[in-house]
Amino acid sequence: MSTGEQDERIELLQGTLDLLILRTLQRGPMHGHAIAKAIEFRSDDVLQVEQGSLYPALHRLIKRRWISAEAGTSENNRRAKFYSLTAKGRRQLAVETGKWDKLARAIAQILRPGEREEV
Amino acid sequence: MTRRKRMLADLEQDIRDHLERETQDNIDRGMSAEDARYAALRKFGNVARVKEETWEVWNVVWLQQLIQDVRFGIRTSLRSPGLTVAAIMAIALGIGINVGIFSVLNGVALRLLPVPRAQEMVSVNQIFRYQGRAYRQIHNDGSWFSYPEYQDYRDHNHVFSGLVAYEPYVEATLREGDVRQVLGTAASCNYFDVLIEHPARGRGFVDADCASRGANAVVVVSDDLWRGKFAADPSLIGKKIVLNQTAYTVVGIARPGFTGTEPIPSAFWVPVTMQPALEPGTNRLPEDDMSWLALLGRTQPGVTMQEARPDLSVIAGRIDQRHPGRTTLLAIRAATFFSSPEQRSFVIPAASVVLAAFALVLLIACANVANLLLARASVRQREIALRLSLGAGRWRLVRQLLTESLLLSLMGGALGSVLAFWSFARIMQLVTSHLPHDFPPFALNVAPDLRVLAYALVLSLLAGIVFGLVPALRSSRPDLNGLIKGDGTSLGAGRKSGRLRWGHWRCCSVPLASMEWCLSA
Repeated sequence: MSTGEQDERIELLQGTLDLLILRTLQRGPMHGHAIAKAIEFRSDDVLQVEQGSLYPALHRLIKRRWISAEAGTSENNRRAKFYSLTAKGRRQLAVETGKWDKLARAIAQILRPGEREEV
Repeated sequence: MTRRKRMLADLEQDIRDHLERETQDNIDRGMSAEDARYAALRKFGNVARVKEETWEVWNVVWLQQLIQDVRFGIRTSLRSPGLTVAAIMAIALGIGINVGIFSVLNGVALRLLPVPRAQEMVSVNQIFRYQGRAYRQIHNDGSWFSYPEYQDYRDHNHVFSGLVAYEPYVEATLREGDVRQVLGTAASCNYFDVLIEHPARGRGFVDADCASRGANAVVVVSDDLWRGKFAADPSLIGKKIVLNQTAYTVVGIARPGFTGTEPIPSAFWVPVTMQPALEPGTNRLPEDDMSWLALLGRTQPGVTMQEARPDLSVIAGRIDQRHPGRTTLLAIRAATFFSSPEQRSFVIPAASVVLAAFALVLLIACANVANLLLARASVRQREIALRLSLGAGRWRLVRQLLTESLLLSLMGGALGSVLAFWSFARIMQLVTSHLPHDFPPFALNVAPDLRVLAYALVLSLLAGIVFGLVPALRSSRPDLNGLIKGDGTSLGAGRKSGRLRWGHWRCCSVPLASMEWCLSA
């Protein structure tokens, strides 16, 4: 992956956002804004999440019981809703990560036959 | 509070918190308060859409849209009551006549036999393949059995708790004061036990009645015959009645409503071993290669028809060895009226032709209603154009128009079905009046059951789609520009409604005329 310029940002594939949220929450409970920041920061700003789209995704995950939401207070003592991974979500993260690796490898092999994949 | 409600209630606050945090971050980075706020909103995207999408996660959207469509459909229908009534009447006629006819056919060939635990009853029939010449004699139905064949199946099968054989439609002269012709049944002596139809008075047959051929002249009479001919005299049991010049002792009177297992009621039952006496001049009992007995088996608990087939086929193979050149296939199916392959090969094509003919009546009604809807759609084009230009999806619009037509067809279907159930007696009369005069009455149950209701529902839905789809597709693709710009008064209501009124008349009269034609044909 290359470092992102303004016009080299990549829009997220359908369903990928779910995976990124699950992975981000693996480090511990977070509020919505922090999740969006973390995804942007950790992808070196290549992945531009339209921050609003986080919320339908979060609710979808809550409905599937992969994450849960609790009220809490943030670092500067403000009320906030914290999202955290459930046991089911942890299992699902493993499954989805495996699937993603497979997909990425397959696409890399088609695009660059003969080259070793660089990670 | 449910999870859904709690989550949605907090959504607003969450989004506000999020935007405040983002704004604060931007201010920390050196933006002015106003710029920071705008940047945060830009980054967040469309707040209203986010709320809507989140809301959709928790709500079954199509269901809510359906409720909306139904509400709107009812309002639209009420706004043009003339058209609504005409459409409903036309569909009610079309569906009513079809449901009526189907409930008759259901009674004729689809309902299980009118005996207790009828789902256990199977009808067994034979289909013969011959190499060379066929010798088999046939009395009534070529797929039936001879008495020795019946005894083989009865004694050697492992799948039935009982196997019954009977010869239906035996004509007999009853000499009791005046002379009367009645139709009766010669039945194996386990008949009433296997059918679980124990006579209301007296007894059914016992094995001893069939032990010796021609020696046990006993008879069970039907409730109808007992009331009609013997004035419901309880002392009839033990007395003798004369059928075809042989005197029989009455041993039982059947349960009221039990008329045998054939569509034409049986007035009496005698042991099958009395056949030579009942039909003087013939003796079918010893014939090994003659079709004259229908077979009905009651399967043992847990035995399916698939399991019965191989067991019975073994017996069929053994019988075939007695008849070189003959191969017997068994047709085993749930017992209904007209179970044998020979009867079905007549009933099914006849029923299909009748149903197809009456389906045409419905189709004509649909065509007329579609015309009405098209006429109305042209009145409603401004409404539709407005919706399209406000961003309604075409599919969404088609769905709304289809909901309206399905509403019409379902109401028409319900009304038609009620009419059909209410008038089925008349329809029965109509059917029987087209039969020869000396035809005995049918013992048909034409009352609606689940199958008839399902037929009515499917027909209504199909009709709604048939007459609704074309108008819906057509009117959801209007020329937006022309219509919105155009002067609405050119589509004024006064002129249109006059034309519609003609449509109303035609809409009902054409199906009526075609129905009349179908009935008189």
